[in-house]
Amino acid sequence: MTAALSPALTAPGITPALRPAVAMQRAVGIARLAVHAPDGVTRLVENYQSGSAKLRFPRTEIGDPFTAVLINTAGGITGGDRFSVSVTAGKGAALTVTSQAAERIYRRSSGHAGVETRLTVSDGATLDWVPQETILFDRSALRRSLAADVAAGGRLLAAESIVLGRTAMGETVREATLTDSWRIRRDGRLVFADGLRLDGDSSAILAGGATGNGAVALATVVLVAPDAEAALDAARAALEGSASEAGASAWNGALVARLIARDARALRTDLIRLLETLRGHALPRVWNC
Amino acid sequence: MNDSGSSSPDWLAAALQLFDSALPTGAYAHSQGLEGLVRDGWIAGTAEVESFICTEVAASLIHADLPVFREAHAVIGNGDWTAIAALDELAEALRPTRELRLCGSRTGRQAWRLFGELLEDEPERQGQYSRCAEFLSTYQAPVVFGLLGGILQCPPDAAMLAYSRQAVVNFSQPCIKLLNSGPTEAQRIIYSCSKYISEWVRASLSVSLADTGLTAPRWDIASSRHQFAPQRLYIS
Repeated sequence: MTAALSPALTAPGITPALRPAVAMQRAVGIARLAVHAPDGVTRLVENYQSGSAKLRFPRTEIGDPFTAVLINTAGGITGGDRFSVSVTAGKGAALTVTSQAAERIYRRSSGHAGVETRLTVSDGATLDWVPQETILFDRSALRRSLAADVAAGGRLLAAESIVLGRTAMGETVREATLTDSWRIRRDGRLVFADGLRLDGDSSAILAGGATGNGAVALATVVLVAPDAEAALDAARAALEGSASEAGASAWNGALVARLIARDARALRTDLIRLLETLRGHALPRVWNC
Repeated sequence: MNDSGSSSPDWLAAALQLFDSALPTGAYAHSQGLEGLVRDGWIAGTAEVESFICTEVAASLIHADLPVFREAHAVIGNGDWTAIAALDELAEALRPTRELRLCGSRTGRQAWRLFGELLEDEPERQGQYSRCAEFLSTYQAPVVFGLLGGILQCPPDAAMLAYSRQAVVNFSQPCIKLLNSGPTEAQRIIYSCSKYISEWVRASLSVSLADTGLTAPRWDIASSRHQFAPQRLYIS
């Protein structure tokens, strides 16, 4: 990611402070996706892709919802990169949006990475926002926001998971900055407001007994639907016996589940089981690659 | 943040009553997730309770309760009554489990009802109270106590300090039952944590409503599980 410096800039006596500022090229991606179902069949209405953000639409099994897969062709995100995703599920449509692979937030040279997600779910529509993990590398910085508007008769299942480093590689994230803000409205009323905040030594921050107790993987799952409370028993059953520490709560058309684990693989396994229970379908095939 | 109009002793007496842990709001019946944390073995002693208060509870005050409290208090002065509805919504939305929402709503509602009776013979304050009541729906505690602090003319910084201390007390007192610690130990926790309250209030001043939000996963998990615990000393 670092541009090669010309010999003149690396000559003896040329300290880093004397080198002219090199404007690094940054990745920018915008994706806008909208579907509707005027005749009961979900169809694409808008498919806008710009920069590093791409959308692909794999064939699905009969009975599975229309599926879109987000791809970041930049190969990861670092300080200064900007991504924006907007998804709209029109009346009666059924849509699943996921990611091709885990998103990697790399060490930054300056600035922070910014990712904005906006979801809109109309009456009678179902949207499953189920991207794969976001992996924070040491010295990464990410500001992320998710804003959703769900109609009274709409159904949104949103899940995001964060992993600190690649545990299989023995990586430890000592310093990271993360702001992850959620605002979900149902029928115009704010029903869920959340903010995950890491700034500095993430291991120390998550060491708190009531925060993460040394966890390296966290997940939040939110279901907003007229029958969300009725799904609580099934959600709790799905979490029973999890290797992760997990819990779910529900009220007034919303269900929230949290999972934390010291092993990212264990969290993923438990998360898949929970999501497939709440979806009533298997997750898209990319989750098994 | 100093309020030059804070020299009257009237606000002090009223504030001491409003933020008194003995105020009959039912708060004593809620551990706000602490019982779940103790049951799950994540908090096993009073030292860990103190650490929990000074980290997770402090973060919750700084990034959730105090910004909402501050803006609610300000409504009494600026007359933007319609903002109360959005504050009430936000305060509830910031509570990630059913039990924490119920706790905040029940204690807030009790406090609101109580002061509705206490203010009956004060026309100006009763007028402010009635105006606020038009826009309250969930009566979440940070909003209710912020509004009442404003109605009672308690300066905002003093009110925020008192509300924060109330939170420290509410998390310390359950130790007596949950951890079999004596009342002196609970008072020791209150005294020790109270030294940091000014810092928390100062830190909260830079948090806008748009930036509110906190994630403390284990606390949420413990609170979620508490609802289905076979035996409970506390409602939440």
